[in-house]
Amino acid sequence: MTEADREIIKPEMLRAHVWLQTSDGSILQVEQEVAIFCPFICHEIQSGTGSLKCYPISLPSRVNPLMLSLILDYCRFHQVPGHSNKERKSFDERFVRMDTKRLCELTSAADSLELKPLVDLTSRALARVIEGKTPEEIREIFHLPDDLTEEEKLEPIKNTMDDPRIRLLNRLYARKRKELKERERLKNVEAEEENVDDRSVDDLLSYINGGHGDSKGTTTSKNKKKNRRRKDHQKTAPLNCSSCSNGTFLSNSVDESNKMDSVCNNRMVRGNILPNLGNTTELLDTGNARFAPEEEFDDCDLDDDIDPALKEEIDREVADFARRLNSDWPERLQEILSLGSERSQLPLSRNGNGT
Amino acid sequence: MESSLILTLLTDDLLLKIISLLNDDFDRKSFRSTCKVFHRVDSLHRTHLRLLRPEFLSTLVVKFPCLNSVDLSACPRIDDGTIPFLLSSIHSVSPSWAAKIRRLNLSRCSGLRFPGLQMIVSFFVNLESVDVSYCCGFGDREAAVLSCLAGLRELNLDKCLYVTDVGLAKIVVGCPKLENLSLKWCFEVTDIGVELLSKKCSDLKRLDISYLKVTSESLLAVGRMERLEVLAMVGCSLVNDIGLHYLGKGCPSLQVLDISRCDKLSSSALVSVIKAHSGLLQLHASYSFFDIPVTFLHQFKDLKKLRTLRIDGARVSDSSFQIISVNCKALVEIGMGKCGGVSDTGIIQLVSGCVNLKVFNLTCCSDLTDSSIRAIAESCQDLSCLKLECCNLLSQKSLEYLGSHCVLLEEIDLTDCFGINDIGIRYLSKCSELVCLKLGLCANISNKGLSYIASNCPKIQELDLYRCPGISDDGLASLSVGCRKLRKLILSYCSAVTDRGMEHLGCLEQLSDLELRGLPNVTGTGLRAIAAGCRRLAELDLKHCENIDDSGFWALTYYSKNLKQINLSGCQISDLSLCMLMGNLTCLQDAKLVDLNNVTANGFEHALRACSAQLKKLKLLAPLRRLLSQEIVETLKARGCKIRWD
Repeated sequence: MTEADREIIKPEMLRAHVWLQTSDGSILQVEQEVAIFCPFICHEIQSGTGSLKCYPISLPSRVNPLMLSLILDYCRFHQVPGHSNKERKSFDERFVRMDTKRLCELTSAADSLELKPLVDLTSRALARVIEGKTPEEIREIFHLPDDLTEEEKLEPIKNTMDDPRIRLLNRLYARKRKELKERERLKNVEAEEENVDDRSVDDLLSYINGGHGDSKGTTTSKNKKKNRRRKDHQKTAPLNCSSCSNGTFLSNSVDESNKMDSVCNNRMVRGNILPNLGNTTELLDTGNARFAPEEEFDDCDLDDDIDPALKEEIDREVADFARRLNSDWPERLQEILSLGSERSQLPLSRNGNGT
Repeated sequence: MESSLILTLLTDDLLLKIISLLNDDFDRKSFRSTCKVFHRVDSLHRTHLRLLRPEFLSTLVVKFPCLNSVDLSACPRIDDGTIPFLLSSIHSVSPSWAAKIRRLNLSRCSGLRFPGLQMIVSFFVNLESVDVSYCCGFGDREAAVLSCLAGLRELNLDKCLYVTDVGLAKIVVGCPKLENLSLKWCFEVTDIGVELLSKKCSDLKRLDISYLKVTSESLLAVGRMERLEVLAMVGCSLVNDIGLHYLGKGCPSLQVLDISRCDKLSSSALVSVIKAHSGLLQLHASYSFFDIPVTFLHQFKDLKKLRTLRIDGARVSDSSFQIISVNCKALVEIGMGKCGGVSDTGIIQLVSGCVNLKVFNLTCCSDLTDSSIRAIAESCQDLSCLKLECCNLLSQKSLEYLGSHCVLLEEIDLTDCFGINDIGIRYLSKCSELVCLKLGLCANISNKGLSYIASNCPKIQELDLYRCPGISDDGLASLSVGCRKLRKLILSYCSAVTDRGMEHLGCLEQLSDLELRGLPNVTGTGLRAIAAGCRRLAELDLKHCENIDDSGFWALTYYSKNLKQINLSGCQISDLSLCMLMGNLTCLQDAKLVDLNNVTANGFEHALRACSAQLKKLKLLAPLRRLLSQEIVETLKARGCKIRWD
């Protein structure tokens, strides 16, 4: 070969090419110095493939042609040693200005090609997208499903029921319930025949009277057999501030019950205080605790299975106990009475109240 | 489906990488509450947990299998009584969990004593880092308990007042792998203890003996520590120049030296340290020297790597700046607060050489004018923190320079700078990375200035508007829209603020530290709006807000469950409300209850009884000491509460 020929051949040899095949089958020819910036491609070349069109390097499935072209742009810029740090930084900033979906695809593609600097860059961009956003906004941007249970959303579980008086009250009710169960078993009860109507009426009543608190307090749908037990729960439950302690397996009729659902599935009644989820329900619960005794007596008419005298005695005891507890807080009681009667979500949004 | 596409794209590793780049707790919590996949990734990889209530620990233990660090410093009621229940509940849920925990933070758990600590130490056997700072009742018995942790590497005993040389000796013998030890304010420790430390703990890298009554003999011992890199001896007033000479001859690995507030030291002795340690990275000598002679600064030619220099309180001259700028080009932080002799020419000269400056403290350098700020702005474009308190000659031009050149500025202190006005703030707001802005005593700032900040600086977290009379409700309205990340706000004595402004503040969800002293137009309605809206409120100061009535305090009781610190001095709160407040806020640990005119001694008694279990700091009027029952005072003391009688 003449000198001239050699001159012509040399530049071509310098700019060697590799062949890359993307997931959709298309084959691309890329300058070698650009491509070997990606460790994955570098390894493949070293193991022999890619130098010929018929033996291209097949790239991982997450790298489609669009992503490949973006990655190659990145590599093409950065593999040149001449750029200053500032230039690289501004290139990077411009590079990651794309919509979130494409950013995710790019991150994934870069990760599969083991291109760590690009993975860092795109991850940081994604972190910046997430920063300062509420969960709803993040879900919208990334099209994520809203599949967390309420328990998981509201953690850590707020345990505000560390008031010893409320614990005492709970224990009292648990004991009363046990006593009533005993007496029911002694009597011959045909309450099973009692049809759904009563139950629904009671449900309605409990919904109306106890509202959110009551729904939580209402016992499990599984245990809805005996009216009086349910009614006792219904009676006791609103007074029970740890409103979910009796287990709200009551279904979706009331919003709050959904919140309590998974919690109560895990926490059976032990007569203990159970976590009370959510702030907005708190006032309503304590509100229920305070004024429920008055409300309860309206229910008495429907409850005709249990011995009225016994029921009265129990009611009186419970009311006495509650009143004794509340005797320290007359003014608060007044306030909560007036607030609770309206039963809105944020009772304190009204002005001028409580003075 | 789109959602599954993105979730398949982002593998767990990538999600983990993204989580690690989310520094803010709030962001991480948002990430976690988004969907099941994110929740799982966060749960499986979370290593650090900071709790507000100890009861949660047992439920959270199961969710985080990779946990190795627990911070209980914010929990109320960590004391000998509750520890057994806590530990047994954890053990029943997850018996092997305790062995994985390496770091435990029990700072300020002042109710804890020897029995409780013993249980903790025998439960968490593999602890490597323990922080029991500010547990003021701790003494040698507790130190002996801690010495059982043979693998202990880091120990913080700040303000454990009763630890003596004996306790220190036990620790030193029991934990030979100690690398980081802090004994600040442990007044009973003397030279003997430090000497034993130097003999036994050869791996020690960081040592803090600030405020101890140690003499130069200790420094002889410290000099023998081969691996020591960081030495802090702030306020060691018994150490003299001989000690510095010992240091100069020893401590071959020393990188950071803090000799602030050591009265007996002179700069000439410091020369011996500098000569021997040319690799020194940080030198803190604030308020130690009366002046810095030029001969001393000439030695700085050896300190090529120096990154931090603090010489607050010393008198300097123009030539000092020249020497520094020539020799220490790597300087990143310089502290010249309250230095006499700081002038424009000096600063201009300094920044011509030190272009990498990021933190610049020029508090009370009142001779500075706009020209020096211009020089700073033009030379040090990476500036991130600038403190210009009391620099009265500065005008809006300075802020113009800063706004155009120093776009990375994060923190600026312009307290008592009379010349700052709204136009200046408009220029300053171009620094959109601003995180902390202090504009106390700036009489010329008004709502307009606030609106500039609100529209351009979304990252702002701390804002100080102490005694800015021009601020009123409209300014707060713009803040509530533009500065959603605001965490700390000081509006003391801004008397134009009314309840309407408080309602706007209620929209700031991340607000946790609020100071509202002396606001006559704020009533119960306003306080209710804040309490209902700012659920993260942890510190609240309502001193002399005399028109707040009980409805506000009831709202506080009901909503602000995470309130940790409260100052109610001078408020018109009633007996009943105080009792309710103190009883129902179970996280409350610090209360200032001075000058409560409507509360009787009986009211105080009930209130204190209701919260005696969790209170750690209390400030009361001195005459009340005789009126309160002996019982309650003793109980509070026994539970580790510190009472200050004003």
